[in-house]
Amino acid sequence: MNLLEASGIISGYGEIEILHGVSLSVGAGEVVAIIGPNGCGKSTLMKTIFGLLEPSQGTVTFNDTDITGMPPHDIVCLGLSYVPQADNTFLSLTVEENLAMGAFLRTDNYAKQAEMVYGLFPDLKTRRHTKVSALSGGQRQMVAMARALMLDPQLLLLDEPTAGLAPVFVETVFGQIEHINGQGIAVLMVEQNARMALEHAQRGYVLASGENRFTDESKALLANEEVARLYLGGAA
Amino acid sequence: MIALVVDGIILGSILSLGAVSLTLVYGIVRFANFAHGDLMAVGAYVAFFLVNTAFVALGLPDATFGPLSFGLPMALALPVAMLVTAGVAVVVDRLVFRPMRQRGYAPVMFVIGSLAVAFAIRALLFIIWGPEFHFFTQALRPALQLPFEVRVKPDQIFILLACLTMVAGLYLFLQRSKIGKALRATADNPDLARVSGINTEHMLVWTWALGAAMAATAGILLGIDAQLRPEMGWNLLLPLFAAAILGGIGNPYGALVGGMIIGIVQQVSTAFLLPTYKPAVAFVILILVLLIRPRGILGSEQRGF
Repeated sequence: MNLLEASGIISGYGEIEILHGVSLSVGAGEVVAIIGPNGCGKSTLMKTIFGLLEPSQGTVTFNDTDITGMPPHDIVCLGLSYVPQADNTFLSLTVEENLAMGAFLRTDNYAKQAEMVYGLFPDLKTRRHTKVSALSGGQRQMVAMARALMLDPQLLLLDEPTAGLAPVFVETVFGQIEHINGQGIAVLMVEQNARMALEHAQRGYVLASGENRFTDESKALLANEEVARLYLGGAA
Repeated sequence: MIALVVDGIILGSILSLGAVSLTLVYGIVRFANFAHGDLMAVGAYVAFFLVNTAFVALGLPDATFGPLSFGLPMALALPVAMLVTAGVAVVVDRLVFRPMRQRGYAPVMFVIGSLAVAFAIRALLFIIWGPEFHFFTQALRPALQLPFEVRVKPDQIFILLACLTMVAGLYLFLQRSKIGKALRATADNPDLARVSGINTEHMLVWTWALGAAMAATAGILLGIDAQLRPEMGWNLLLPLFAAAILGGIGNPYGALVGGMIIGIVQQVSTAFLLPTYKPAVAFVILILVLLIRPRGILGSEQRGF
């Protein structure tokens, strides 16, 4: 059974249709990458899955629950967390307060979960009382992922986790995604860094012009001549 | 001169409380609420009704607390008036601003909407209580004689302490409590707050309730210090905005400082100018701040506090 199942998604902003019937699925514990050129609808798909945009057609189910059109604060309770591409931290709050906001819906003591999350991001623990606005771009991205992990999700949606980061941090972030996945958490990520994303994922979806173009194992996509030429910027 | 500064601190503490609550609301609802002064007046009039009508009818003892001009009835009226004013603000949000949010109106429309609310509230106060001045009490209390010819009424010391306590309480609430942190998170990044599972509509209810309860307190304290008039809050709107902008709009801690500065400068100006020019002084400060440092003393480019 698939954890996340999106089928026939038609969605966009107002009158402007961006996705023309996209389908995808994520199994439990899987890392799946969505790649494709700018403007192909990758972020729109993430926002539609997470209830920030309502699809005009198609359905999204999570653990067999229909979450199509459900508000984000209800979706997040079900074990699906989302890290937006930009503005994904509370800059005027401390690291610890950012985690507390990620745990906002928890009624129990979240200290144990915070320890687990700090275990994944040891750098953050030493800076827990620092305002996020004083952190570097790489550290902010860690805060963003840490916040999203506070509800102990089964699936983490990452929208361009390495956008705007210095190359040394790009490696770090992919390493952290592996660590997160090592905790049994499935990851669905949208990435510009297509080759690296596929190297860290089990499966990949190539979107183009708001439609599914290729769907395969990552290895097969990396070896596919056409994918390499059109979307990975070079020969396989 | 020192006496004027002391007067200014008392006025400044009331302005601070009003400006802190005004800017708290601004930080989260993201529009300048022109009805804020009138919420202050609502608080004052609700307390007036309770103290001078309802509690009298109930036969509540009206002995005053020591040298203060008020007693048990006011102590009970304050929390009730805070709750009622909070309720008024929440209902106004539900009836006026929420439908506008759902239809995606531009921010300027919300400001105009709040202006309409301000007019409506003031008109209601006129209809119910009339245009004349009202006083919580007619009793005169001797002022304390302090060195440097400073005369302070015991009430005024209470006003200062009450304002500082309220602002300190708000600070602790925002820094320590779960809801307070969520309010700061919502002010900082409303989209991310929603994504984190914070119901931002609930946060707006908290914001209006907190802001209005603090405004009500400021109104009551102003009524204790001076008198009640339907336009008492409206007349304070300019100094309140001047204080909030001076401190950095959207930053409650800045508004505290801004309120004190405006209060002191306004009172000290009466040594050189006719008291009728007091609002003009606030206006001049406002213009100077906007020219020299538009983001205010503690304001920053980024949102949140």
